[in-house]
Amino acid sequence: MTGISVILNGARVASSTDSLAQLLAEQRIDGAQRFIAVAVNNVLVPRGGWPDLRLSDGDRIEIVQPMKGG
Amino acid sequence: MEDPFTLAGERFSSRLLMGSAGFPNQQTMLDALAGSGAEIVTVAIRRINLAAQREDTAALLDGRCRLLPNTAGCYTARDAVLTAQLAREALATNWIKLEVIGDRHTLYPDTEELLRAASDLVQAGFVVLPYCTDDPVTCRKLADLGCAAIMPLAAPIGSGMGLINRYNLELIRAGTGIPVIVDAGIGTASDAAIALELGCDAVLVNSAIAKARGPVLMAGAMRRAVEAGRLAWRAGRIPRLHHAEPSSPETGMIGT
Repeated sequence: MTGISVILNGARVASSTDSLAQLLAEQRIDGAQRFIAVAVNNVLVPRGGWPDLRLSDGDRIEIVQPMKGG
Repeated sequence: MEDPFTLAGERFSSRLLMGSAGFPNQQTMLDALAGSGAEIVTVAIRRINLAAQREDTAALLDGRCRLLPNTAGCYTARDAVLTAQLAREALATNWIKLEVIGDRHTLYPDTEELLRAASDLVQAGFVVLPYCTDDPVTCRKLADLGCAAIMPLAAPIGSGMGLINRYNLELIRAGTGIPVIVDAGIGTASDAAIALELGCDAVLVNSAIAKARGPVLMAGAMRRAVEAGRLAWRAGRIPRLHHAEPSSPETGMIGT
């Protein structure tokens, strides 16, 4: 397939894959990594759902982790 | 454990919760944590930095304390609920310190959105610990919704103003059976002691420790203040009088 364009943590990026798991792997994030969570278009995607989720052009992906906070 | 602090069915020996933000460096934060005796530490949920080496606060603190994620920075119930869901996924905890901010200048909660988010999250099985105004009616509504505790502010976040309305905190304490955790505005150790003396169950302190000239010293001061305040509450203060009450015997004085 030709690539798609997604919004990843607020920045538009070109992706060669429509697989969420592959896109995350390109960002050095795999399903075994602790303390991380992902939402697509404002919906949580539990890590068990990463392999099956197909992205569409323009999807907004948020990858978050705990940081210092009050 | 004598006089444990029970929160959502779990028992803690410390009544001091600590925030992890704003310390001069990571080691000072860890040393302050050790000095504070805190068993619960708050963290925020933020986008990871995809470009740079990632700091991993959760991995750093894991095993040293219970991590309590917050929804700081959220201005709508929708964002707060999603952040809570992300936090639950990232940290495998259904505990959430719920913040829904209404105003950037004061960081006061948006009570309408807060109540909506609290209701949704309680329904979804979260242990909801809402940061709220020191308004007894709001606190009662949050308790009625099924929140596990209420976290009224002492003063605006980071202001260090101390307990600006202790009478409200007393009313809140008297008006609810669930734990009251004073959150935000603590400036120094005596503020924390007074909160506990008023019968509040615990305090959450971040800036007053992290931004003190000596964060580790202040962490120790807070620990002792919270312990002292709690002991004073349990002991019961004497009534305030508008006249003197002699403490020495009034009989047997020379020349009588």
